[in-house]
Amino acid sequence: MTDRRSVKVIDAVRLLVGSGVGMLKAKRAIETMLSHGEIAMHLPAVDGLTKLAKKLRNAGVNVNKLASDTVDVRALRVRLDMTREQFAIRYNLPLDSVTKWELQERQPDRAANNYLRVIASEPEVAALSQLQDVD
Amino acid sequence: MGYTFMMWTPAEIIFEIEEGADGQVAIIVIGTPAGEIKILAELHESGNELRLVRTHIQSSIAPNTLGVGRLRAIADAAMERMGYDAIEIEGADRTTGAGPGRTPGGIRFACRRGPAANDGSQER
Repeated sequence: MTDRRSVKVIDAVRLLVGSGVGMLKAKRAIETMLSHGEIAMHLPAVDGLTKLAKKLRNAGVNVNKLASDTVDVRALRVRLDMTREQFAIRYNLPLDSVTKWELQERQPDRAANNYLRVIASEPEVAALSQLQDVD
Repeated sequence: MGYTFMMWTPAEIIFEIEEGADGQVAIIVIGTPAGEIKILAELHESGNELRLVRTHIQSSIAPNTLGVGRLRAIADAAMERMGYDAIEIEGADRTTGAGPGRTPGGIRFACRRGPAANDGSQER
């Protein structure tokens, strides 16, 4: 989250333009960030993310990148103290997939990996999101 | 305590324009004897008038250094060099200073040509 009072809008827009974003799109993005507190956007031409993040921080904009690491399913399940079957049922996942991910016979695809990251971060919320009322 | 407020001459005001690819938006860097003023705005042309919309201003100049007279000098220099008869500036929502979140009112500058000055002279 960015403190909108400390944002140097023009410096931030210039940095986004230098990262391959059109000037109007960059302006609108920073304005949206100022009104909503945050924005997610794709930067097509970043030359050194660490350097860019530092410059953006100097312009008052905090930067995070989207996670791309693969979740260790076995470690996650063990941390949550569940059997494979419990884990699969609680999080509405095919048991066969959970087993193959753990045995590294198959990698979770991007969507599944992102869901596993949510489970790792907010296990209760992820479990509740899979429940439905019984008619 | 004495206080001197020197008016800037047009030659002391320098403009650098970085335009967006679509020409709808620009960053205008204005060099003045007191420091640099950066303006980011969406551009709307109507005849000989230029309207700057959702404008953001960033400056290293100390507050209260500009004053209406110097703003007028900048506007006059801009109109003269860019060939406009009027420039209107509408602000974006304030992020700092007085009343963050508030949208400041607009400001309009028009050429001060008299009828005798319509012959292309520099009088404004």
